[in-house]
Formats: sequence, structure tokens, C-alpha cells
Amino acid sequence: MVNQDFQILYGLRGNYSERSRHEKALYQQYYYFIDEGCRKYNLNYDDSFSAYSDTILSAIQNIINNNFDGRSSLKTYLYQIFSNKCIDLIRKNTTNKQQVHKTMPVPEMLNQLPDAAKTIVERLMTGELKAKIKEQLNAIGEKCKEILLMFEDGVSDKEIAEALAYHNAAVVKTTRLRCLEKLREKVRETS
Amino acid sequence: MNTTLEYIESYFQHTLSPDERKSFEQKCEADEEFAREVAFYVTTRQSLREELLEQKHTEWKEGREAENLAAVQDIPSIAPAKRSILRSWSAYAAAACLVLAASVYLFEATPSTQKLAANYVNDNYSEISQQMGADLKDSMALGKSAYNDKQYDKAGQVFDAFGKDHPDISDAKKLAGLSYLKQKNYDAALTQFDELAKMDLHINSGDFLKAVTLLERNNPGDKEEAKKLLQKVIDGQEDGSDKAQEWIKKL
Repeated sequence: MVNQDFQILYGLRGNYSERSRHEKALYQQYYYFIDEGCRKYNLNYDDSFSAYSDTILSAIQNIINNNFDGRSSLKTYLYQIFSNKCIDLIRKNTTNKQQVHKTMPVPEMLNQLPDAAKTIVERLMTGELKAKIKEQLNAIGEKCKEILLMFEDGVSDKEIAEALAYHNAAVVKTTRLRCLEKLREKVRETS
Repeated sequence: MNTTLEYIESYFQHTLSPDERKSFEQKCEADEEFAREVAFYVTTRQSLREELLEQKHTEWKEGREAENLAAVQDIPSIAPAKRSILRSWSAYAAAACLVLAASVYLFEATPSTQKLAANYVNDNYSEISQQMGADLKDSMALGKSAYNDKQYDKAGQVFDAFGKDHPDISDAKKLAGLSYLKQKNYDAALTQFDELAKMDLHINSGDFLKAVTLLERNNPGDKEEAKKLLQKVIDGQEDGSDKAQEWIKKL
């Protein structure tokens, strides 16, 4: 890995404000992949752009969660993800014209479950449930949504407490779980 | 507080014991109501991720467009009538630049190695990211804060002491070395980087930083020693090998 990679990795694993700065740096650094997506995979610019944004977000989350082992350069690692996203997109484009962020694959977290449990849970994850959740996410209040989105962005409870002026990480965790509960109740009410 | 959601979150955050994980997985298969809760949790996380992606997508796209716009606005517009005059003047200017560049090249055929090393340290280690972490790292956070405030003597003491208490933490040695290097205390920096280089790490920048320190110190024999270290970094594909390849040609 080159030193620039180390700087970005170090920054992404730093605090929230530090991270935002390095997210942008990472995004700018390999922006030319978008042209590659258009040229090599024959994607239109918007699709290639979506694949690239998705790549950057996935890579950032893997880096934060220490799932990037640093054996390859950051460029190689990103390009591998980007190629896969482009190929996924080509496949999806042959059946429908939805954008990459509208047709997410089965969440990676589900792969933690053994096959039998995964099949059961996956069967219950209907399009209808997802539509209701998306709709009700706007009904739980801005603060709740902000906390949930920050957590999804890989920001720890401790960092959320600092950024949003909560007393401590435990308060954030309680608030976050209450927000999830509130969302679940609202989804149930509409069922 | 809904303990079910907390329990589900703990599973996906890997904070349950192996027995608890097994029991969670069995519950998913045996208890449909519980499986529904898990499906809700995972679908919510998936929906949040999609929303987050859309937000970032917009934010990054706007940032990029703003940058492109700024770049276009930076290009001064030139009136057509003035272009030919400007063209002849630019020819003179280009010729003058060539003469100047040639004289600089003849005057100083190779860049100062001290400058090379100092620039590298300034470009790469002017600021250190401050990670949030466990209590163990509190001293490190203190040292990083001092370093970023340019209190290199304080930072050096903190990292040095921390490194002695926790000899397996490579970052302490690296940061202590960098703090000493910033103070131009080259001997102390070399001691830290030497210890770092001896550590069994997947990625080790010890040898490269030793070379940087020697180049900046520039005592008799330092350049030769730095050359050997840079060659070692290149041969071993160690951290800094790209820069080492670039520099070794200039030494």
C-alpha cells in the first residue's frame, strides 16, 4: 500500500469529522473509475456514478469495521468492488432499469445466519415490509432518523453522543433502540 | 426498553457468546414471531443503508459539481482581439521559463535530500488522525492532541512513556519517533524507528522512517546509510517502497 492509502485509512478510522474529510478525499481520489465504468462496462454515466458511490460507501464501512486487511492496495480493493457492482448493475439492467441504490442485494448482515434461519428470515423480509419501513422512517421524527442514519454510517454511540450533545454513549444506545421500537410500532399500526 | 431489539443488535454486532449465538439462531427457526422481529431489524438496516447511500450520492455529486464549476470559473476569459498579442508574449514568457529552468537545473542538479525528507514529513505527518477508542488508548489520544497542537515535546514524552508500558503497540513507537523528528532530535527519533523496524508487523514503516530521519539529519555517512535502508524497503516491499524507489534515483 502507498502512504496516501495509509493516510486515508487512518483518517477513515478517526473521529467523525476527520472521517467526513477523508471520505471526500477517497471519493475524489478514484473518481476516474466512473469513466472506466462507462468505457469498460458500457454503462451510462449515471449508472457508473451510482456504482462508484455504492463502492465508496461499502469500502468505507469495511474499512471502519476492520474488514479490509490491507494486503492489496486501496485502489485494487476498490476496483474489485467497483467491477462487481458494475457487473451487478449490468445484470439488473437487463431485467429492469432501476438504479443500483434502489435494488440492493440481500443485506450482507443476513449472511451471518446459518442457512435454515436465513431462509426463514429472508422469506419474512417482504417488499411490502420494506415499503412500510421506508414510509414510516419519515414519521419517527428528524432526531430519531438522524441517529439511526449516523449509526448506519458506522458512527459509534460514543461519537454520536459527542456530535449530537447527548450525555454519553449509553444514552445514545437507549435512544437509538427506542427509535427502532417507535418505528416498529408505526409499521405495525399500518399493517 | 425493548430487549428483543437489543438482543438482535447484539447478534449482528458479534457481541454474543458462541452459545448465545447458537440459541439466537435456533430461536429464529423455532419462533416465527422472533423471526419477524429479526426480519424487521434487518429490513430497517437495509432501508437505512439505502437512504444513506442516496444522501452520500447526492452530497458527493454536489461536491464534485461545485469543484468542477470552480475550476471552470478559474479560467480567465480572454478577449479575441488581445489573443495574438498575448500569444507572442506567451512565447517570450515560455522561452524565459525554459532559460530559468535550465539554469536552476545546472545550478542544482539534484534536490536537497534534507528538503526531500522534510517535505515528506510535512506532507504526510503534519497532523495525526485522532481515533476514538478504548481506555487503553486515552494516553495515545492525549499524545495525538499534543502533536496536532504542535507541542511535539509533550507528544514525544507521552508516546515514549506509552510505548514503554505497551511495547507491543507499534503506533506508540512510530508517533514518538515522529514527535522527536519534528523537534529535530534525530537520535531519539532513530531509536524509536529502529525499535519499530524490529517489530514483527504485517506493514512496517520503521526502516523507511529511519531513512527519512537520516536524510533530514544529513550527517556524514547518513545519505549512504539511508540509501541502504531505502534499498531494503524496496527489496522487502515494505511500507514506503513506492517513495523509496522514487528517492533512490535522486540520491
